[in-house]
Amino acid sequence: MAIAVDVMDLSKRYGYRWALKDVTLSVPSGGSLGLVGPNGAGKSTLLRTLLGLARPSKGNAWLNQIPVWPRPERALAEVGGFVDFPRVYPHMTALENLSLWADLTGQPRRRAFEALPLVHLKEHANRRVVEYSHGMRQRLGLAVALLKRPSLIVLDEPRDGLDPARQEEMRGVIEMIRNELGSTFIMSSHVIQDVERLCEQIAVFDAGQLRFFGRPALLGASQDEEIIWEARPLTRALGCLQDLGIWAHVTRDGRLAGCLNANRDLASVNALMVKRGVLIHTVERRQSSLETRLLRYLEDGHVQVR
Amino acid sequence: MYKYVSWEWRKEARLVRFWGSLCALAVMGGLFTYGYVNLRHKEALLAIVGMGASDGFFVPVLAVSVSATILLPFFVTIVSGDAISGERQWGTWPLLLSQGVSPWRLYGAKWIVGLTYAGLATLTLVLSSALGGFLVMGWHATALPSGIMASAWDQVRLLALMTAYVSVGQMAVASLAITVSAFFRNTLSTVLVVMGVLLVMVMIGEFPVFSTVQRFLLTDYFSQAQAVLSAPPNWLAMERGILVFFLYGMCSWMTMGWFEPFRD
Repeated sequence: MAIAVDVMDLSKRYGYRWALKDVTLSVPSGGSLGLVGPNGAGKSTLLRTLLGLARPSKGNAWLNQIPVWPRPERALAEVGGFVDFPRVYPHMTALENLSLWADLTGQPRRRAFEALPLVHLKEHANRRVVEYSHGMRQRLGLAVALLKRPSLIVLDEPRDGLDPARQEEMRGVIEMIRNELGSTFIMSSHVIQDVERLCEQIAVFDAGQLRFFGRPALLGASQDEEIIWEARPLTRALGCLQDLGIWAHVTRDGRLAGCLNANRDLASVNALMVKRGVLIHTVERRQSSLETRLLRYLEDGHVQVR
Repeated sequence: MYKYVSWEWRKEARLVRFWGSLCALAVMGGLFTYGYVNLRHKEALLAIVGMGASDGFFVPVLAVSVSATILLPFFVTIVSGDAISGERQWGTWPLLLSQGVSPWRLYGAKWIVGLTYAGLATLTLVLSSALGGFLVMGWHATALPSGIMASAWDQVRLLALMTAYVSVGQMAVASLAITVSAFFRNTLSTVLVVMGVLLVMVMIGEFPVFSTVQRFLLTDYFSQAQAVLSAPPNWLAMERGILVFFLYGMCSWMTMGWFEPFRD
């Protein structure tokens, strides 16, 4: 199978700090990779290097077998993507913007009309971007990235800064585009559920280093079960679990997820929590989530989770 | 390259700042006419323009001479100095580069559009003040400051030459502004730096110790604008203009080639 993204010994240094150190990974054509890790781990730096925005201090990357550096233009010919928050010209309408970007990237203007429904902005095509909400601008940035019908899509935190409803909408848009275009796909995200749902492989970064690269199922496979508590007050419940030496964290939906030690049984843990004034609404056993496994993996590797 | 220039032009032409600044210059042409009409009998003015002070020809001459060093460069810098720092300020620069667009071609397109604007700005000021002068005082055969008589047609030719002379200098300012803009993240910094550089040039021009570099200074170049007002036209001044433009243009491209400030 052809390799769409090949990264070899890639390092990037800002001053004395290594933002990325000796990263090597590859993604096959049509595959998908999710980059996860705490803030400042090096995810965005890797994407910036791939998209020709940051010169590597060492190593190189190949997109569709074309080296990105020193001249990224050729390697990016079939690549669409953005880092950080994508912005377009605020004084122009969405359609004017897309036509302008289509002309610049040598695409037919009809692509501008085709891209708008993809990101659910057809009804707002003739509104100036300055009047757009944050989420709409984010989707318009995605439309710009898709104008080329790219064989490789690179997205950095595509749902960042959106409210929950818009986040869900954005995930739907990305999922639809990924299925429709069938492109190779790389995204970084703090939302582990997105990565789990959209990506076949994950790369875990911390302090500029690649800690894990492979299928999500292989990450911390030994912790195959977790307990989910819906309990109040949350801080007291968490403190109680920590006192018992039980590793736990608060999930995005405001519940507690933890993994029991071999020498603890669930009934005794629950009894102690109740004794300390914690009100337990529900307790659930389930296959451990990627988020839990990832957090444990980073902690086990003596890495501080920020 | 045409694709990039057309793209930049379409984008700039939709900005209020672009047309607003040209309109402001046109209004200033009108203001210069008003000011000139009220001051034409003052001795200080008569000393500069000579006996033909009541001729409309001298309004654009005075407008361009007065504006060339600070006012026109200010407008040129506001528009051209926005070239790359403006993209960074909008946040569009990373999206442009990540779509595989060549930053050199973008720079080239911005350079051409910036130079065109510099020419347009000078032309707007000259045309509006010439129109004002013509409407208020008429346009007759008159004596130039050197004492030589010039027909109305000669005056048009001389004014065209003076406009070209100042435009070339403004293009050099635009080139400087676009280069400076590549190193900054907002337009205000670019404007301040370019205006600061021009101010330093004015100050250097005052010290005899710098006399060797003086002829390469834009401010000195602008102060010589009236030298073209001779009959027959002084083409030598124009040659100097082209030399100055090439000097600043080449310095701009060489600076960009050396630093390549497009990426981290």
